[in-house]
Amino acid sequence: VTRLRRASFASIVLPPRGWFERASFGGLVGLALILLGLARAEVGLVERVTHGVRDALTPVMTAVAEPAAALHDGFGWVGRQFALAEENARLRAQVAYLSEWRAEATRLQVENASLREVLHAQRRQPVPIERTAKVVADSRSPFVHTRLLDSGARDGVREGMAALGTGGLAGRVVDVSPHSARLLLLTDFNSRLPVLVLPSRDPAILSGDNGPMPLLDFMPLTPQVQAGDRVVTSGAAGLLPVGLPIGQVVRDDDGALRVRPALDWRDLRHVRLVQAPPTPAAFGAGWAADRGRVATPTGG
Amino acid sequence: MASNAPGFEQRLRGALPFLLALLVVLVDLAPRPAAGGGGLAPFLTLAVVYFWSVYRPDLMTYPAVFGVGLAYDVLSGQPLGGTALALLLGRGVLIARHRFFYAKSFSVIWALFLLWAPAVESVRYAAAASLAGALVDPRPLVVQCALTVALYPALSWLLVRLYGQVRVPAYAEP
Repeated sequence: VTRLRRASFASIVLPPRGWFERASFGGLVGLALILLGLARAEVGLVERVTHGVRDALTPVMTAVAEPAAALHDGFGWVGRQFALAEENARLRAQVAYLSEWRAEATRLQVENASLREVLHAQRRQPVPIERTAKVVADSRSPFVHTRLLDSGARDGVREGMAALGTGGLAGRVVDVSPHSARLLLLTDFNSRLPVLVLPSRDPAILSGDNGPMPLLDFMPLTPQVQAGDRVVTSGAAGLLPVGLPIGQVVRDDDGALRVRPALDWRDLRHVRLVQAPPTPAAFGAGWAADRGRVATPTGG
Repeated sequence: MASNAPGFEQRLRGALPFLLALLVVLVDLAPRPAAGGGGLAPFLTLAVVYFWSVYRPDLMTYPAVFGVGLAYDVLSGQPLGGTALALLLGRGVLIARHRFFYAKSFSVIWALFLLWAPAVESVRYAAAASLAGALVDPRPLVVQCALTVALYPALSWLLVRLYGQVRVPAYAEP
């Protein structure tokens, strides 16, 4: 009891004074400013040190992430119990709706296969699933929307890979170190993704603005886009695989076209990382060589 | 070398505020999927650095503050040095006006946190905005600040429990 009472009073200790204080303040503020100045310059040393620290802390983050997630799950569990009946009804309706679609998809698949046979068209390669990675840290910030993944170059993660969560695309990998990688979410201020709007097939750029719904930019002059249209990756520039689901078009209060991501943010614990299959667009040189051959069939 | 054992323990107790702040960085950045994509959470690291800079500035030194800020920047993927710079300047202000805190009640110290936290956050905002080359929406920052300030009493209560475990100041050592 005495201990507790004593502990409830925290006394203020005098700050240290002297040359070390002044020098460390000046020196470290200078260092922080230099680091900020180099942020855009991609200096090898800074990057190596950052990657080293990040790789070293990733296992610690993984250990902390588990209990933290469990705690949050606990709170969420209580809340979800109240919504169970409602959610059940919604899911039943969804199952009925999706069963119809499944039948339709099977029919289309058969039709597609027979048409391909008629045309001797090559079967389109399915998107290869490269790797599953765990989300171990959240940028948790108004400035950047990123996640830290527990896998890096040693695990086969490559820069530019698309990250899929439950429901759709989450973003893409931007910064890979040996044992960790950073995922830039599609809502981030720096995120720009080439997309297609279906069914009009209008190309657009999906630009994040740190809000929950990224903007559709650079539409064609006469876009035929309507609210409710589906948005998928276009695969332009070979950056991302073609046709990954992203979300639905919505019109915001200012009349601008935005996309509501289909991704279930609450389930973003693991992501599937996929790489665009090698396409002519992804290998510009090879494509050009091929075209050269085709253009001069008699020259070879 | 029997005298080494208490020496190590004392060093550990001295490093406790710094280690605790590092742990809170990890807690701050732990994924909270339930919060959603742009979900907001308090910036507890800020509160912990404030607490120790006010009560134990001899243990939450400039290098410690810098280390905490840099760890936060590296793990969160924000411009390297932004949080470190903001926390360094924040501690600088607290130390320069440290006399003010003597014999003040908790509510005064909390009220000052209400002023201090937005000031430090605006340094981070300025760093992020100048690097992005654009003004990002500052509203989430306001919400984050409000949450942090609102949670300060609870966090302070917890840290006061730990205060007894931290090394006693050099001049009070027996």
